[in-house]
Amino acid sequence: MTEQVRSESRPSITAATPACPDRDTLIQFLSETQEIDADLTCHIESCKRCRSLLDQISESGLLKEYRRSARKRLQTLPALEPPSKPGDLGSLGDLAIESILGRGGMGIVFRGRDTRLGREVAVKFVRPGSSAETEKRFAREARAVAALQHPNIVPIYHIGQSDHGQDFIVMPLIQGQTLRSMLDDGELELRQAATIIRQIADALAAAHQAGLVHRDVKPANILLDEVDQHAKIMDFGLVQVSEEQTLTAADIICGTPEYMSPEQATLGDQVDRRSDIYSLGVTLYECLTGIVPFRGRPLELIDQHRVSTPVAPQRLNRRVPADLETICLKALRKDPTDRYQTMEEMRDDLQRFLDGKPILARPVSAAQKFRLWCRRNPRLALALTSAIGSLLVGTIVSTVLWLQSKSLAEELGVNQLQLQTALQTSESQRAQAERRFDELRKLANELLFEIYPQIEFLENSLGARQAIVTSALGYLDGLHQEASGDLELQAELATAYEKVGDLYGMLGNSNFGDKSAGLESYRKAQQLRQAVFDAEPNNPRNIEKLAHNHYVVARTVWMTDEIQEAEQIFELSIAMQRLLCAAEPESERNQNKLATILIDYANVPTWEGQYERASSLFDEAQQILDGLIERDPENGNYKKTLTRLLRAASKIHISGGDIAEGEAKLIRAIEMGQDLIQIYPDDFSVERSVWLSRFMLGEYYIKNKVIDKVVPACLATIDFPKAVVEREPANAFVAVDLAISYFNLARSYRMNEDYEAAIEQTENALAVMQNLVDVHPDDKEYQRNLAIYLTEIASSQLKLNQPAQALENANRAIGVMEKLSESSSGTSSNKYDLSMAHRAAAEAQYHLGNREQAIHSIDFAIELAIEVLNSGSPLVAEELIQELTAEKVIYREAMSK
Amino acid sequence: MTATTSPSLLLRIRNAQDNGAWQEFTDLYSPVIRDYCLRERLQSSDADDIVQDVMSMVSSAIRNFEYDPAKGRFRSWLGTITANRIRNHFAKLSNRNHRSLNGIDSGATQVSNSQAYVDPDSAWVELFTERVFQVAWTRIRPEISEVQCSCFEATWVRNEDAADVAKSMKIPVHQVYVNKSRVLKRLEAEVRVLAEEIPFSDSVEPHDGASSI
Repeated sequence: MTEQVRSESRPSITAATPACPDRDTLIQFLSETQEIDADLTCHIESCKRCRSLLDQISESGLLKEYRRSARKRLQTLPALEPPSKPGDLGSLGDLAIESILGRGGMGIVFRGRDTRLGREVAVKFVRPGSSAETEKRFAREARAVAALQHPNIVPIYHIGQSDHGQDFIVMPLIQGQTLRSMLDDGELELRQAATIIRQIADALAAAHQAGLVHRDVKPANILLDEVDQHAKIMDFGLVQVSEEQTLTAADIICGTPEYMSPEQATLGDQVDRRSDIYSLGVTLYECLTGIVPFRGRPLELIDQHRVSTPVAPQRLNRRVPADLETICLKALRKDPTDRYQTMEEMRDDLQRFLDGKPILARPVSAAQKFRLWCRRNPRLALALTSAIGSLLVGTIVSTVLWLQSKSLAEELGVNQLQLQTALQTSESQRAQAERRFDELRKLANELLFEIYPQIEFLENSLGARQAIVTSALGYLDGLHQEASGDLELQAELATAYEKVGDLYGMLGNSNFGDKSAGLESYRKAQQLRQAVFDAEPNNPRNIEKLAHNHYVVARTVWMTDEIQEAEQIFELSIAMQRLLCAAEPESERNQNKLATILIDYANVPTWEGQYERASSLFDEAQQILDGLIERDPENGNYKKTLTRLLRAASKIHISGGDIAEGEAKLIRAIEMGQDLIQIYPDDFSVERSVWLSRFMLGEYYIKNKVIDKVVPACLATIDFPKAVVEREPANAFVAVDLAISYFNLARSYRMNEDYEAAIEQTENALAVMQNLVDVHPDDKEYQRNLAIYLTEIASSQLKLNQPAQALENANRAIGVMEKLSESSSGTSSNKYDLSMAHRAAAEAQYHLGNREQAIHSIDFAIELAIEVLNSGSPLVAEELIQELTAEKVIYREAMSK
Repeated sequence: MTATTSPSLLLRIRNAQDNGAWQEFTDLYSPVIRDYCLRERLQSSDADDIVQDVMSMVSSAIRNFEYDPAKGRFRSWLGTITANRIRNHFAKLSNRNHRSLNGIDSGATQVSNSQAYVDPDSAWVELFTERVFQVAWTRIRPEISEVQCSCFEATWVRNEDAADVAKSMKIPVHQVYVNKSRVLKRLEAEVRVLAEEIPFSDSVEPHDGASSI
């Protein structure tokens, strides 16, 4: 088989088939901006001719003469002797080389056979070393590893050098897979992971005892032997061939920066065993959470290892036991002296955990955390304090609030002085305009993308967070003035503006609940995105970003009730997203996003009662999602989107009359959401999604008067928003959630004729809403809700025979509503609500004996209801008019008596 | 979209204000000149002197626009200056006993104005390309992913068949070509920046992606 492949390796170009693309298409195919055409890629897989043509096209005339140099420097495939047996790739002394097991940045590994001893081996070739010193060290380390006999270390049978001077290592061929591939398959139990890491710690402890540092601990170097079930570590420091003491960028890349200790980047080979402890910590972290603590481009990663704090494993996987997290984070400390000092300590703590005994490592306290952070990030700490300081009068006061810890505030007070000095120095340096520009740019980015996330979940950090966003916005506006023409900067600013927009008012996220400020930021981003798109309209990333921007703008515009404008922007966003899907048909992410936009857009016709239009949008989204979930059933993101669809589509079923289907969809959405909470613990948007499904189910029961199910369904909606509002009192979105949850609970009690409970819950809703009105006096929606709640209380009070209180509340409601309609022409829902308030007032007057007043009020109510009827909501209005007319008859009869 | 917009190093060293460029230039080419001297069996200290001399000649020649791309490649020009300077050095050695020297400069070190530039020999070409490749590679390596790098090395450096590479790396064949082509393009751009190489007609030209989506 291999021989056949070899003989095909340089085929001559045969005649083109009709399916073959022309040369230009292939040239386009290789160019960076070209969209990937699925048909073309399939064709290339099967067409030898096109592949030869691609070989030809992708050659570079200029580089032809550099090829020799490249070969000399980069050649990693060893020149083998001719094979002794047909089917082999070649031979190397007594070794028959059978096939390639794998290749990576470090070199190439063959599967081979020791023909004399008759055993299966793995032969690893090492990137050619260039100095005698390196070669000596290679031999020295190999000797040391060969001397180690440990069940968890892959032994070395032999090292050698090929005739062409390339070093190779011969090892047993182990049946099993690497930890890397197990992690990729996602089939690792937490306990199993702890056991593997403990075994590797034991192996490394033995190596350290022998004076060996591994330097490249990572999942790809850990093998799980199927035969003896032991985890085994391989590749001891043998692959490090850097001659210099510090690593060059290229060396770092050749290593695996995801697992590299902070000191490894600066000290290179001179690191001690505590560097292995860090790398093993990274490996453990990945076993626990499925991801490495830091991700990004290699050079950025190095900075992150030095500076960033890893997210606590429990936040990514709630099932991670606290002790295991503590062990992991202890190994991951930046300063080697803060880590476990020996591998034995780490191994013993892992063993204690496995035995269920208390571990010795202690978690880092919040105060230590902040102090460490300041020490590591003097520049960030400076930026943070100056950002807050420039905005708030009492820096210390706000900091104390924010940190909620006196000792920590004292700690910060000390830092404050140092920072002030630093600030003055840096101010004078910033005199140069050019530098100031870059500084601002950095500062704004740091504020939004580094500092904000660090304190996002700190309790009582809202003030500091708002200060950060406000000052970041100030910086951005300053930069915006100077950004024209610089595409990269424009894109960067747009991202920052969108982030600000999200923080101000993105529904479904933790935010400050200021829609109009959010919209303003989104719109600034829109301008920039548009400019970048116009400059490079064929770049898929530009399409993607602009489509997303249209989407967030459309959503926000829709929330501010500008339906038509929202529809237009949604259409734009969908059109662009379709473009993107066509450009990158392989991208599942694009598809998922298209489904998301379609669902949100479908909400608009649903709201307008155009069920057929909504339904066709939902169908399209459902089709996309079904396809995605079929392809990747484990992906939570698609399920998230599907939950959203179920919920949104239930509306059209319920409103369209298929009530059982609507209820079933909501119940399925709740169940799916609860599953997702298991997958994404502590994820606000997932939890809110479940709340929303529950809320809609409650509302459905209210509307259809399902008396026996309504109270428990509504009760289940209170906990989530209540907890969030207690934690974040200024979070207006969730406050609204809470108010309407209370209100629906009240309505459910009223349906069960428990009027006292109904009043109590409505008062809860009223208190929350009043708070919102106080903070946002210009928001009409909040005031309208206030009026509705007052009317609701009045109705219940009427049932309890308290007409005087009822009249007072009804009049308060009318007062609120009238003030509202003064400033706006009054939407039909406003009129409906006002009609209801007058109706309650009429009934109260009637019970108080003021019959004339009652008729006067009911006439008002009827008049308003007729206006509602004429403005396009006939169903509700007709019912209301009938009821009101009936009531009027009663009042009139009472008067005539 | 072109792969790079950085001006070439040769262009930058013309600008007297750009001190970084000159530093870069000497860091890049001193080892080539020095190694070439050693290969010509010069003493290490003499080699250092020659590096100094060649560099100062290049500095003034570049600023006075003496290097004319129409007459040949920069590599050949630099090679000619170096070779002439070495020849001059040996000439001085053999003349030492006969008369005293006045200054290091002599007509022999200058490149004649009418001549086309020619590489002194294959050793020079090898040293020069190796150095340029090494520096270019080190600079671009951080921007290249592991997979791209493996594809590039297997197909371009080792001349392996793309289909085999795809199989052993478990990626689609077209991806191998795309990866190889990206790395080549990036490398080409970097080499051009360092050595101001003129593209050949059959090389892959960067495309503008002018087709509409």
